[in-house]
Amino acid sequence: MLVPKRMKYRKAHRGRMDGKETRGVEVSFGEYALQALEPAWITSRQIEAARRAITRSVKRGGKVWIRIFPDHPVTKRAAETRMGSGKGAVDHFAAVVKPGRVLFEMAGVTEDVAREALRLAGHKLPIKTQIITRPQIGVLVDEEAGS
Amino acid sequence: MAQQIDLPAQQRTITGKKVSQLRRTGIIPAVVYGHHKAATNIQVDERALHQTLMRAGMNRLINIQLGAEGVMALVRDIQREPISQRVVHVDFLAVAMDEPITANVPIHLEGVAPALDQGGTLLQALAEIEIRALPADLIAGVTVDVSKLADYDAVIHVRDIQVPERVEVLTDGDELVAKVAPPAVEEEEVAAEEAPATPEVITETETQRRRTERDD
Repeated sequence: MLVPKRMKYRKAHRGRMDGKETRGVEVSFGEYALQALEPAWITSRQIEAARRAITRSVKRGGKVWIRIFPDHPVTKRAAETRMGSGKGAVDHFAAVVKPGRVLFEMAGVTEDVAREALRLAGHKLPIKTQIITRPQIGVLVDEEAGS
Repeated sequence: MAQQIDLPAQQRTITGKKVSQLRRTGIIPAVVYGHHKAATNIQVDERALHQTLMRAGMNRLINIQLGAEGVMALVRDIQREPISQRVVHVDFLAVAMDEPITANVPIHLEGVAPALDQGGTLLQALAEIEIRALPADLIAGVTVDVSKLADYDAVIHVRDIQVPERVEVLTDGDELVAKVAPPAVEEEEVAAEEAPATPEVITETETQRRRTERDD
């Protein structure tokens, strides 16, 4: 599971997830990608489950990139504790994801295989997702353009 | 000889947040700048722009028709809405036809690598190379034949790419373009199952660390 190696502060405020993502929204490494359509905290367990779904679906070959990292510490109060006495202990880590963020990328497999793998990965995540490809530009030759 | 690509455009007076009104009517805001030319705000029809981008990509010259004036330009940047992928703004870089320019052109792989029969995966390490040429000599892309990748040790470097005589490749010749990677060994689930290590907190004092350990 993905966990930060070192961090500046042990616990963090919860923060806000308003608006859309502006960075990490393009397919940068592979050919196909899974993109978030909703905001969420995605835990390192969910990332790992989605990654496994991809690698198992593809069986062999292909390359996968994980474009998010769970660097947000999520705390939890101990069971049967009264309110007060400070913030709870760090329980796990999550990636803060806003709509538009590219979560996973794939390359080296056919489109059908990539779409199926990313579809399965999307079911492991707590949000709606969509599968995107690199924008097609400069692919039309002059004859096809009919001018 | 490739046909010239024309893009009709108009001067744009609407700027700032009001450009969203333009987008609603199927007009995309854009800007032309470069080569001792002050930045000019322009607007183009969305359908015409889409057709132009599909033909020109990032590396073919576009003749932007601003009234009677024509500006030869390359697409410098395309901004898209992150979810719908709709184009929201385009930067055009005006070029002087007698000065060489640098551009990144895509690498297309063709052919079938014999090493794929052994179960490997074809990996393209480099998606594009940087070239320098006169605007008229620019190429839309380079094609690399992967049929010489006979085994897992065979690699194609940037220096192996054939480009026209008047085009200079700026990317380092030793950079890897493509290879066939051997099939990945099925990784053991054990490695992933192990308990995650606790991160080191770099600003924490010894007292705080002890207190945290006690609380946990």
